Amino acid sequence: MPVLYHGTSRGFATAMAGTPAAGGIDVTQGGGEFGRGFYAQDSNSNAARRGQTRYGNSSAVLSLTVDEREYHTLNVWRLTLNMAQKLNSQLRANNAQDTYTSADDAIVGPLVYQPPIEQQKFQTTSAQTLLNGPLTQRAVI
Amino acid sequence: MAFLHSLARAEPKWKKGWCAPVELGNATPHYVSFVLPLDEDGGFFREYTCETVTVKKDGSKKIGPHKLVRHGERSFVLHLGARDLWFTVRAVPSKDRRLSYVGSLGHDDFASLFVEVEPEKPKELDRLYDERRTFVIGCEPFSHYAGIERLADLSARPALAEK
Repeated sequence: MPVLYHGTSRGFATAMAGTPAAGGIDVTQGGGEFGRGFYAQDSNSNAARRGQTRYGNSSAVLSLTVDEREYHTLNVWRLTLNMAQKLNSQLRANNAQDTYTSADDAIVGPLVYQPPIEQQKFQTTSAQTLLNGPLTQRAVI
Repeated sequence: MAFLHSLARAEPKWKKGWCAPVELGNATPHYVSFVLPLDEDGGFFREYTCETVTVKKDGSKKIGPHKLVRHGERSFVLHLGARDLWFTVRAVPSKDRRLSYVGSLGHDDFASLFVEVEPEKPKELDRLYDERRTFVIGCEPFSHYAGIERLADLSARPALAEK
């Protein structure tokens, strides 16, 4: 899988990166187009820009390189653009962008407003364990 | 000179339009749009200022101004050394094409209507970041938006959850 990126403040990024053995990502925090969870995307420049617009020069990007084999043990719900648009529309209508989760470990699909960019929402304890464990390389860039 | 801006679509509870991501706080979408202000006649300016941010090895950042130049009716090019980055007007329903800024921050361009543009090759922006740790911001908000410090302080409160 590609390297994933999350734009945020340097403080949050450092806390989430943690140590090589233990990160600090919390999948119960965060929300977005696919509901509640920890979001990462495959565009480093977009992640960096999002962080800069919120935190200015205190921003940073958390990069995640997840072990390929372990990643594929997760139950991932893959969305087409049409599916992503429908889900996002439903969540917006129900004001559930901060609360919705499915039974899957992760939901993967295009950013509704910029489909060339793929986003991944991690939402279960299993996914969190993988992201925070030694099989995921976490770095602040 | 007017700027290219990185703004977000306002949430439904707001009037339809654009606002600065820092104004949305945790509701900031994961894609922030590039938007261009229009002139008094509703057309594009010939040139816009477009800033880039370069992250140095020590984590500090250097903000550099560049020119985004109109090319034809709906295209714009940003020259960064030998690299040309093209932006085109995003195809959206006509009722959503020209929207105003609906937030509370200050900038000369915020009196204008805005039109969204998007990178023609988004991966080129990622390559720029890979190779030079540089990304396109347009108008660096913390350098140019009046009143942003107040909101930045709010979003940095540790009690608020990060998204």
